[in-house]
Order: sequence, then C-alpha cells, then structure tokens
Amino acid sequence: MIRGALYSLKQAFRHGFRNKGMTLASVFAITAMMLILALFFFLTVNVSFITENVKDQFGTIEVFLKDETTQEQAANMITSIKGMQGVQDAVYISKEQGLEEFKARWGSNAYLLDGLDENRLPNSIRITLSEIETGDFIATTAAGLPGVDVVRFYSEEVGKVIRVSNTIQRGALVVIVFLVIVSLVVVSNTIKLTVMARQDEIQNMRYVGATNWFIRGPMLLEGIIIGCISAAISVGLSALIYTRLCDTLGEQAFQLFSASLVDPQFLIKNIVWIFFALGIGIGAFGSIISMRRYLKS
Amino acid sequence: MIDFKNVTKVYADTVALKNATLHIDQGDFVFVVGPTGSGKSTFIKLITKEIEPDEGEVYVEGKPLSKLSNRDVAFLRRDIGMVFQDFKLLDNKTVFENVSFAMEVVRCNKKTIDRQVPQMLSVMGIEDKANNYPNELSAGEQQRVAIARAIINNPRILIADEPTGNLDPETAWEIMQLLELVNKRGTTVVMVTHARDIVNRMNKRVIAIDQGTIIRDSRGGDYGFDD
Repeated sequence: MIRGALYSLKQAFRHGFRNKGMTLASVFAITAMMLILALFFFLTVNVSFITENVKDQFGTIEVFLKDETTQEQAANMITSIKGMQGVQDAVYISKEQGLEEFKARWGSNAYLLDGLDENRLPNSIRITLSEIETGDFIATTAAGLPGVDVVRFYSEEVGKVIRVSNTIQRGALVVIVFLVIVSLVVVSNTIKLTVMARQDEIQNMRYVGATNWFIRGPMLLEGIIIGCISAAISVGLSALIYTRLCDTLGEQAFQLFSASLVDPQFLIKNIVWIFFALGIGIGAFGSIISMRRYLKS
Repeated sequence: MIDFKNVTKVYADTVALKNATLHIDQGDFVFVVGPTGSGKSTFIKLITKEIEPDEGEVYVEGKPLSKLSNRDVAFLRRDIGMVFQDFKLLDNKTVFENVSFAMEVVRCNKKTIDRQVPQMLSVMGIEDKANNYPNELSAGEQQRVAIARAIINNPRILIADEPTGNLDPETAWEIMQLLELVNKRGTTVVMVTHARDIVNRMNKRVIAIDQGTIIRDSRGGDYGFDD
C-alpha cells in the first residue's frame, strides 16, 4: 500500500518533469484563472466590507441633543423612541463616548483629533433601525421632540450604496462561477492532451497487466501536484498584489468610504485554503474526467 | 490452457469468428494463419479480453473470461505476454526501462528488477543495448526488446501478432528461434502470421481461419493458403 503510494508519487513527479511543456501549460492556465478569481474575490469582500461599514455608520439615525437637555429628558426620549415601529435599539451617547468612537473609526489617522482642545461634540441618541424603510418617518418624528437640536439620517445615500454593492456582488459571483467552469474545461483539456501524449504508454501498461488504479494513481497525483503548484504561485502573487493595492489605494479608499480596506493578512489566510482546495479539486477532477475514456477495458 | 467454446464475434456487418471451438494445450506452439481480414486478430483479442464474444465462451487457464472483473483482466494479462508487428516500445524509455517497466507494473522490487532485466537482455542477445533508446536499434533488435518485455514476468502464454512482419527473412528466422526458446521453457506460444516460409519450416500446429471459420487445424501442418 505504502509502496504503491510512493511509486505513484515518484511516477507523478517523473512524468510531470518529463512533460515539462504540458505541466507548465497547465500550471499557467490554472494560475491565470486563480489570479483573475483572486481579483474578483478581493473586490467582493471589500465591497461587502465597505457596505457593512456604511450600513453601520449611516444606517442609524443620530439625534443630536441641545446642550441644555438633561440626561433625564434624554432617557424619556429613548423610552418613547424605543416604542416606535422599526426601531431596534436606541442608546444614549455622551460627548466623551462620541469622541472615542470618532477616534476608533479614523484608526491610524486618529492622531489628527489629538489637537482638539475642547470636545465640541454634542450629546446624542443613536437609533438603530431594524428596517431602513421606516427611517424617514422616525427621523421626522424625532426631530419634533423637545430638546432635540439636529437629526442626521442619510436614507437615500445608504440605499444607493446597498444597491450598488448588491449589483457588484452579484456580478462578481457570476464571473467567479464562470471562471471556475472555464478553468475546469481548460485544465481537463490540458490533461487530456497529456493523456493522449501518453496513450502508447497507457496501452503498454494495460498489455502487461497494470490495474486501472496503477495507471490512474500517478496521473491523479500529477493533476493534484499541478493544482497545488498553481495554488502556491497564485497565493503568492495575489498576496503581493493585494498588499501593494492596500499600500497605494488604502489612503484613497479611506477618504472615500471612511473605512480601510480589508486587512491583507485576513484575506490572504482565506485565499490560501480556498486556492489549495480549488487547485486540488480542479487538478484531481480534471485528470479524472480526461482519463476516463482511456481506462475502459 | 486456452479453450474456445462455440465462440461467435460479429462486427457491424462482418462475421469475424463463427462458432469457433478449439483447445490449445499448455506448452503448445500454435500458428494461426489466414488471409487478411479472416478473423485472426479477433481471435487474439478474445484471448486477452480486449473484446468480448457475442456468443460462446473463452476460457484461459480454466477461467471463463466473461466472468472476469476489470481487475481480474489486469491479472489475466500478467499471465499473457504480447509481441506485436510494430513492437510497441516506448520511444522515450531506454531498452532497460522498456523491460523494467513491465516488472514495475506487477510491483517487483528494484533489486529483482536490477538482477533480472540484464539477464533477460543477455538471453535475447542485446545486453549491450540496455541504455539505448528504441530508435537507435535495428528492427530485429527492437523485436528482441519487445520479446524480453513480454516474457520478463514469466507468463504462461505468449501471443505474437505477426512478430516477423516488419523484419527481413534472416532476422525473422532469428526471432523465430527466440520464440522457440521461449516455448521450450514451457510457455504456450500462439503466433498469428502471414509468413508461409516460417510456418512451413517450423513444422508446428497450424490453425487456419478463413472468413471467421476455422477451416483447418493440423499438427505439423503447413501454411496452405495461396495468398
């Protein structure tokens, strides 16, 4: 059993090396596909990350209170607001808390806020909505309450962002599915060529009494090795690209969305297992598809 | 050893073998002769289970082939050596590798391979070609490699499909002597051929097939066709 596996592994490497051209072609095709896939993956993850951020930041109604409004009055307001339909929660945010949040959101740029000599933020009540559609009504009602200074609610903007991001995500999903199918076809064709180039050898093996698994094993392994090599290259390249992207575009993204791009380490960690699973799957599946018709007795 | 019981094989519109019944003993040397398209290749392919009969049953070493699984067929073929007119050597492997390949397939260990392959090559008279590639050899030498590969695992049966078809008469005769040697070691040899001279000179059992029918089966027979 172990000797069989060792034999398969040795043969797989030997064949892969002897058919350098084919091996390279396969690796190239899978890597190219994975890189494009990676770009779409980065896009989708970031878009949904930013959307969540936007929802968190702007999917809430900020009710800014007049300076003379007491905490007691504020507590009463919260009780009545909580009674309204479509409100998930309402909390009191003191001006100190408000500043802390501000700093947290600005992340590495928070030092800019250190220069403030006095906290000019007002006390406020933050209303979290359970459904964004009722927001307009709640905002108007809240604005009418005594002791309220200004109400801030960006309903249209949030709706737009959500719609755009949904479209982008759906589009990306279609492209990803398409890419996986295309790459499966490309890979199984590449391996089919390898198998055809080796048809004599397979025929020979059959004549001297090789079992199907004896023939299949090395080829399956070869496919898997090709997939793994491609995955490794793709992970390396896409990690490099994404880190670069964060370095150069991170600032702009922050200014545009007031949220940073998804942490490269987190994304790359996920990419590693996704790509290796995909590479092994495509390699194994591709070689099985292309071998099948040569292994009928 | 090899038994055909009322075997019929029909291709789209031609009858390749019609109700054939015959018996070949262990250690026999049999020529199968007949004009082109008479059903000789079908006869061989039925023995190795490359194709299956439409009717009747083929037995090899007492086992009915129709009952064999894919895996059993692989093991059946380890007991059958095959030699072809076009040698079917692997061009990207050396002579040594072409032969050792057959041993790897049956999971021999490296020590046995390294001992037996040179021995076999020297029996075939090509021990000095071990590291050459097939395209560096003469046709006769290539056929010797093919025979070495076919018998390295000591099969009980050797099937030769026109093994002298691509060889000049002198080389052909050398190959025949090798096959005779193989037969003397106890291996059953079934050889399909067109070579009248060889059949007449060898004086072995001859099975003549014409249009799918066995028309003659005689010991010490001769070629007997005018083609």
